[in-house]
Amino acid sequence: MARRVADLCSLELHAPSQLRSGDGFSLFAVLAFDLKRMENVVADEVFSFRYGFEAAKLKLHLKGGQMAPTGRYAKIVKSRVKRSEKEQKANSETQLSGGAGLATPKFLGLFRLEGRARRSRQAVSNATVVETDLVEYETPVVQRHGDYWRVYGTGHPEGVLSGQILGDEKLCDILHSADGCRIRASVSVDLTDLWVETDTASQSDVIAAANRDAVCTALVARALRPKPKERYWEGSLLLIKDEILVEKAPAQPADRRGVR
Amino acid sequence: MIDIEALARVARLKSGRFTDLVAASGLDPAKDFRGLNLTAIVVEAGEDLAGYDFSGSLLRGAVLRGVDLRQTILAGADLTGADLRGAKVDEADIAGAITAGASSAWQDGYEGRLPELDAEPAPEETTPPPFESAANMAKKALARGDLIGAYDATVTAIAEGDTSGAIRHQQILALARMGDTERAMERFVAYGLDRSANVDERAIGARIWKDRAFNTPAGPARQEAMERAFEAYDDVYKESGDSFPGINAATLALLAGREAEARAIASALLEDPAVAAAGGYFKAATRAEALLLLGRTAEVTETLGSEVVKGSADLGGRSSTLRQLGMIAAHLGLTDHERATLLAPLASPRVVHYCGHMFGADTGAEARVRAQVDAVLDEENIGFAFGALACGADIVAAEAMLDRGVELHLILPFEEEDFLAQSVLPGGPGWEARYRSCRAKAKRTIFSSPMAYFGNPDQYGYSSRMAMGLTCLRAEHLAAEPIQIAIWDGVAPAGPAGTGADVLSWQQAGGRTRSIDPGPVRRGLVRPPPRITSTAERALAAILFTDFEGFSKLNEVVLPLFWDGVMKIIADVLDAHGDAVVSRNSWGDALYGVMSSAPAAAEIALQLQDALDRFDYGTLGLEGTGGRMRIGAHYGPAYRAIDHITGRINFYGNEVSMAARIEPVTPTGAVFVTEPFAAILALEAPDRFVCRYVGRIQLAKEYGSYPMYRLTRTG
Repeated sequence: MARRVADLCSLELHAPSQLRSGDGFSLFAVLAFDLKRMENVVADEVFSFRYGFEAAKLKLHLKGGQMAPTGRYAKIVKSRVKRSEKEQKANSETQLSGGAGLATPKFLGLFRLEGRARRSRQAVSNATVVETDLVEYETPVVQRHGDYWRVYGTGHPEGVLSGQILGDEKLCDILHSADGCRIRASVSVDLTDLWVETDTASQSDVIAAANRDAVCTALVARALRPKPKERYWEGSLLLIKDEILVEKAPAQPADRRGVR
Repeated sequence: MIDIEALARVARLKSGRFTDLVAASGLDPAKDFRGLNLTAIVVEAGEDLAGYDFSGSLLRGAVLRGVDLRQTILAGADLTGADLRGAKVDEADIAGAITAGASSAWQDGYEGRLPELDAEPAPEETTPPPFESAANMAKKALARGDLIGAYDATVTAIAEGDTSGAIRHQQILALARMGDTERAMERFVAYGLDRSANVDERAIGARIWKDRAFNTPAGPARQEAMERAFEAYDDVYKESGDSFPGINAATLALLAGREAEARAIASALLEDPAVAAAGGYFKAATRAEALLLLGRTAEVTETLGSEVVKGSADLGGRSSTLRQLGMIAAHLGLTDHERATLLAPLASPRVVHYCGHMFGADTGAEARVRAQVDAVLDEENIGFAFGALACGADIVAAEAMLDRGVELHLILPFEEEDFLAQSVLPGGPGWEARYRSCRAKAKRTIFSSPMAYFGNPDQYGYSSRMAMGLTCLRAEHLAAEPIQIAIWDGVAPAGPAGTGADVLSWQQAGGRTRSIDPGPVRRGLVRPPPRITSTAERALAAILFTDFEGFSKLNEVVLPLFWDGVMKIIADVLDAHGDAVVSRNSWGDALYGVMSSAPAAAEIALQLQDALDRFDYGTLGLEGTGGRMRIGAHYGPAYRAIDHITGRINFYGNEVSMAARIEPVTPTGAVFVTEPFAAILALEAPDRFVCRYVGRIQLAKEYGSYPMYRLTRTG
């Protein structure tokens, strides 16, 4: 199954040697997503569709190491939107904040609120009325939860994971507990985050579009489900795995950078 | 592999209806919609989602108005912000579903799911789960027949500031199911639901008009109500396309004399794919009704014989369907025999009063009795049972019924400690454990008196009569036949209590008894003397208390007019009943009267209201006429003695105190009675009076809350 959907996602772990010490090292995970686009001739007409995921989970499994409590824990997009316009646009008041590894300019300008994922998340996000007609939203890009990270398609016009999400900054620091630390990372998705877009240019009915999206999503999901009889909402779909072994570095002089 | 062709079919389908798209996709609704993002889908009322499994899916913002979700799985689904107004969800699997912010004005499921008359109030939930809006709590209470819980929930929610139409809709529905049509209509207009933009909230008006039509004697008023009901249902049907108002519109059109319209609507309903498929009970019932309206009785038989009808456990729904189809069949001229044959699959299980002799350990005799009880149960299709739990026949019968899943209701005559000592332990070892096992499995246990046993056999007699009355009440509400199973040696009664007396009472009330001869069993058990003895005389009493609204505000000048007007009317009514009134007294505007029987008290109470309705209250400086007296009535055992003060017979005791607490919580112009009173009336005068369930009402002076009924005449 991982192979069938692997081209939706790429993952590469690395621990730069210059960021290793006798105590531990910094881990980087370069995580990127793509939308799968398919084009076929159906009934003598070209039919195309795309699918991808609006959120994913990156999980680490460590053997011989322990994650330090420091490091990136979250990346948040904040926006203040006029209530009357909140479904139409984000505006120049959009801000970025959070821990390390922020300020990726691509989020600005691309930020729109029409995505289904964003609408879904906003339905349950904390919305605070900061002025009479302004509502402040917090939209996560990356959130750390213990040994895993949730990543969201924030920034894509439809809220779908696309392009490089992680990799510019270290993911976390890891302390050795043995001579070598084996790190396995997996990226998985829930089918509730599946996004499908079909060639429906001739259809303009908004209601019909929502229903069509849903049924098309179910069709794609049927092909992706690993076990047909399982109650999938309790499980997830593995996209890709990667694994590295980081040997403990020899002791370094005191003035070298390292992890403390 | 992704089915590209199916995707293309869906993407290019002109119809945007959800179920059309699913049909085009070839997906399996039972497994392909689990755990998906289905945000903002729109399902139209009338689309059939029976069999869909949406467990774990995101249905945020979904529009499911008026959709029948009763056979839809929504476990773990996220319905945040979904529009569920009018959706039918009472049988849906919603375990763990999230519906914060969901809009839900639950529609009446189908006509008149009948109340569980003895339903215990729903336990209060201090922290309702997210799905439990007040309207939904009321809806669920209604679905399980707990009108008490439903009505109380709506009253509380409105008092606490719930301004929604949904909660008012549920309250009116509860009133309508209580049979209080006029109060339902009054609230419907007062709440402005007749002008609501919500089709479901307007639809309840159609139901009330229909009730009013059926409660009105034949004539122009009935015809007008029938027309109004038809128009109201037709209006809703045209707007929603839902088969529920549709079938009601069709039937009312027939009864209003618009036969062509009835046939047209019925034909259109049969074209509805969901009705044609008859995939669930209500769709099958709708199909059967539409077929009957078109005179296609052979197909009615086929539909009613389907597994979906025969297998339905919704007895309230079945009895409502039975009544509705019976009415159409009668209108179409089917004979009684034809009707009975046609509608036999809808018959509710019977309600039984069971009784029998006490006997001690006797394995052979017990096995013989049990075999005969089993044989009778095989023949009679029993669903509900009311009786006591003494050693011997009671326990053997109760065990047999519990083994078959019969809903058991225990009615015990006095304090449990005394009942065990007098009626269970004398049978010998083993009976107490069996008693406790049955007691634990019983649906409800009622103590007909809070007193100890003091050696009076009337205490047993009264308890048995109450059990018989409750049997009749339940049977009446389920349109089922009440019967009695008596494990009886055939010996005529020698007193007010015992199996022979129970059989006599039942048969005098016109009931059918299945008698089982226990044969030789070990009788003559030794009972201990009562713990408490008393020489004070006790008697069963039907007790009335009345009160005149606004008496304390009357001008001193008009008090003689009140005395000679209102009080004289009351005295005249009492005098007309002669010896039936065994005690009477007055204080200011209040009357306290004790009658020899519940039917006599019921007749007097209603005659008082009728007579006072005609009084001109303008002479007292009050506006308007009628409806100023509140009357409460109760039935139970009380002490009877000569009043040391007045020198006349008087009654006193806990039951009198309870009766006095009813009238202050009774609406002016109404007669409220307690459950024992209603039960005895159902046994002794079912053709003369109707007791419509009002709810569990908190009595005055913090006396506690009790089920109350509104007394009216039949017809």
